[in-house]
Amino acid sequence: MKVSLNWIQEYIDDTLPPVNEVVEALTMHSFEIEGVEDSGDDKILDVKVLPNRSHDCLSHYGIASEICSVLNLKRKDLLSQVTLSKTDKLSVSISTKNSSRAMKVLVTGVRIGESPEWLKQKLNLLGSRSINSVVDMTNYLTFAFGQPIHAFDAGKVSQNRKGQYVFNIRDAIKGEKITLLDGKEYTLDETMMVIADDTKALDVAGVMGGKETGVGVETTDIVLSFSGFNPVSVRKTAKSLGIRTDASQRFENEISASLVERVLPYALKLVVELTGGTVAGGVDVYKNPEKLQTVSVPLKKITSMLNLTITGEEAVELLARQNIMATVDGDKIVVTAPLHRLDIKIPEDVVEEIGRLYGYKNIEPAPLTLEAKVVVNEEVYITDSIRKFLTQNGFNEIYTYAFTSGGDIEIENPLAGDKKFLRNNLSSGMEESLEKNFKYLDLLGIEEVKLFEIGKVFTKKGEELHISLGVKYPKNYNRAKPSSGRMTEKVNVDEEIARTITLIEEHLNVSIGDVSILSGVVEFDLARIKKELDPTEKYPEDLWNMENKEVQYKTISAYPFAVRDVAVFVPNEIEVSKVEELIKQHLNTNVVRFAMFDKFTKEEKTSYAFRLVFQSNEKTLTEEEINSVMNPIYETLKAHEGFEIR
Amino acid sequence: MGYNDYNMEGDNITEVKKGHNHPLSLILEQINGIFDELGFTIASGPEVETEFYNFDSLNIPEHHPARDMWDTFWIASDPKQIGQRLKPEKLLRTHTSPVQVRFMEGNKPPIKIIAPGKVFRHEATDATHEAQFYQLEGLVVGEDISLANLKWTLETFFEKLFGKKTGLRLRPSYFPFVEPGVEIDMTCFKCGGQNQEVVTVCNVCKGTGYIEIMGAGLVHPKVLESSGIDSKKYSGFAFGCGVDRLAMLKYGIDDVRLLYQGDLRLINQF
Repeated sequence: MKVSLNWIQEYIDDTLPPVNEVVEALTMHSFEIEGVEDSGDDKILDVKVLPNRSHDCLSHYGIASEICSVLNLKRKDLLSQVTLSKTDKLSVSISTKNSSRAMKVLVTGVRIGESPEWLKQKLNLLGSRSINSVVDMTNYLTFAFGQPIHAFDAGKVSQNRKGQYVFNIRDAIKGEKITLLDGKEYTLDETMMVIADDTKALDVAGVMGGKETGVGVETTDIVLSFSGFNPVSVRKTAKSLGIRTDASQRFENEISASLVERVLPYALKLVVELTGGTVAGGVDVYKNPEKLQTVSVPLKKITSMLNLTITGEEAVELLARQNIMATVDGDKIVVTAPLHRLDIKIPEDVVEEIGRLYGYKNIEPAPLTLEAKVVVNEEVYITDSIRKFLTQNGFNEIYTYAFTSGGDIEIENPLAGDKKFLRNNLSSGMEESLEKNFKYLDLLGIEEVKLFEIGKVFTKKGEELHISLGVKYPKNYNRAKPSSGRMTEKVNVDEEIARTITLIEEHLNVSIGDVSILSGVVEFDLARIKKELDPTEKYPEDLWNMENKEVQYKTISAYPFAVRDVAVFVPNEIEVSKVEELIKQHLNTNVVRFAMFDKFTKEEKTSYAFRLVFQSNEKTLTEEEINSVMNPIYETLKAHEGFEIR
Repeated sequence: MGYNDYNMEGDNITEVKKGHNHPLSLILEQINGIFDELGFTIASGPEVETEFYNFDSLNIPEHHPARDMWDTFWIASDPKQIGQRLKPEKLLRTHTSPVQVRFMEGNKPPIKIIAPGKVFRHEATDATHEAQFYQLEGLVVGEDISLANLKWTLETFFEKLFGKKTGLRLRPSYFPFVEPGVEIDMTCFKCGGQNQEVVTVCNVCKGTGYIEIMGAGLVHPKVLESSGIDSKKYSGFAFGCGVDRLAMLKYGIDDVRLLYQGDLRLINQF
């Protein structure tokens, strides 16, 4: 919520400290500040009011009061509460359980015009458009005190036989239609609530006023409406109509009905000043008025939750700064929060108020000495053991999305048409990943793609933890090449997977059972692996890699890469490092990989083949740019005696 | 340096090459190890949760504005059941906090657990938002558990995770399942929180000196009670943070979506 610091100052006797101090104080003791903007000699703060304080802090006065609490400043006195003179011109009633209060005030002989500059300016600061003096006043007072107010054109409201304007808060009738101030017609249902006269709905309660009874230049008598509504009802209505207004936002956070008393004197004073009208009187129907609640808080609770030594007197003082009354009573404090503080209900709420004002920074860390029995998580034991084993054996771990275009379990509200289901297998994602990564063999400097994923899949039977392995080799790939390590015979991808599964079984001393391997991909339910764990079992010593890897990710280039090979015959006595040195001196930042990939000796000569991979982070490299590296390499190599480019 | 040598490890090596762990697994393993050492049990729970465990049992009633804090994917109702059940009641868990409740239902204090796992949020994705990500939840319940114990536990955790001492800052916040609720900021591990005066603004903390890292607080008595734990006798702390965010900070990953592409151009850097 945006608030103006100059406006806030109007409610504070002391001069506010510089803006950065206000921001710091609010951040550390109340709310995060999401931004500060300059506006002439004013500063606009964007305050992220927390949900548990939205009932009293979604207003300038609310924030001003909060600033006074945390900076220990003096609040200005508000206008004294007024007693409303009764009028017999209004018939006000509540016939729904979702409204607690309906106060209507009739103001006659008004002239509706443009708002004065100060008012326009205030609304403008908050990005609210000026409409006319009365509408602007209601908006201004909402931003000032947090109690939404609505103004009806009395002339458009039906009268009963006694000549009274009728206002009844009732549940809407299914199918009832109303055109609201946004010009759109809405169809209501019985879960919604309206303010109505004898013949029609005038307003969707707590959400938006009707167009027909809106105040305009031709209006001569108005009725100001102050209400108390059930927050859940307003929230549901606003949601289902798809309207979110300054009013609904406040009502859905359950504002105290006592806010009406706070704003009323300002409204009565302003309406006369702005319109020249006369306050004829009002009617206040207030069911079950709010009562002050007291909460008893043992001092021990405060000190043990915060681990701070705070005396009863200190606690009382910190609460007093917030206008929360408290007294010390032996080993506890008895706390009475003002009516508008709906968030002080249990002792823990009071501890929070004391703690945040005292300052969480004063809490010194205290070691956690609590001991609890550690139970080994079988799922973690097995998955982490397999993960470790597979990465040690050349498999790379991938994570893919749980959302897919087809499956057994459907999402009610998917983000996109191709993400409507939860995956029921890992194999599809595995196949895609194999294909995708296969294109990057040269860039990655690898000869084969070996992947695994461990993750949940969702079937009609329920949620299962699966593992999938995938292997893809280039065509005519000879695993008997030197790079194949301990493997000497040629294998295909399915054999490689079968071999890996056997190795997992041996390594973990478990049985996986029959699996079906198809085109280099296998998937099975990890529930097949039952590991009998002793209750006193611990995780294997070296299960987790605890080394603090100092890896800094390098951005993946969005541009294509290019591959160039260079092969050269050199006399046998020339070491490979010598050849590498000769090439390396010509490499620039566009060469992202350089390595030898082949070597053979023929009589007195040895052939070394090197592969260079080119890629830029800024652009697609041109042939010239690549040649500007390759040509000097050829030149240098050729210039050496006994060297022969192949 | 004439060329990028970060991935210059030759491919002419003759022994079996090791594979690469996903960066999230790397960090999750470290998290498991750190908390195991501190005597925590690693707990897990289902990714498809009930509305009760994900919200109600955590003091987040239906129609409460606090529910707006968690944009939720709902599981479509079984067509056969429509009519009996008007709205879906299963969802993709929006946090691993339900694991807290499930664990408390089956275990008596003292309780010391972490619950790492995948969670889902119904939100448009961009470089810093993903519809699926990993969360680490922690819960301790015992006698006289305080915010000071929370501070110590998290300081110890971050020091081990980032390999250097970091300061923690607690700010007021609100989560329905804790009271008081706090937001935890850590001093920027890159600039050490000393950057405000420096010419180039630190790209990790954006010049604030602090990194917003997690939400936490003392367990709300309603949550303890709803799991059958006497809130007069026991208190506890809970915390929750995004593992993806930790990984991104630690490894300098600039786009969360990269983590779920199955792309070795990312993974093979780790």
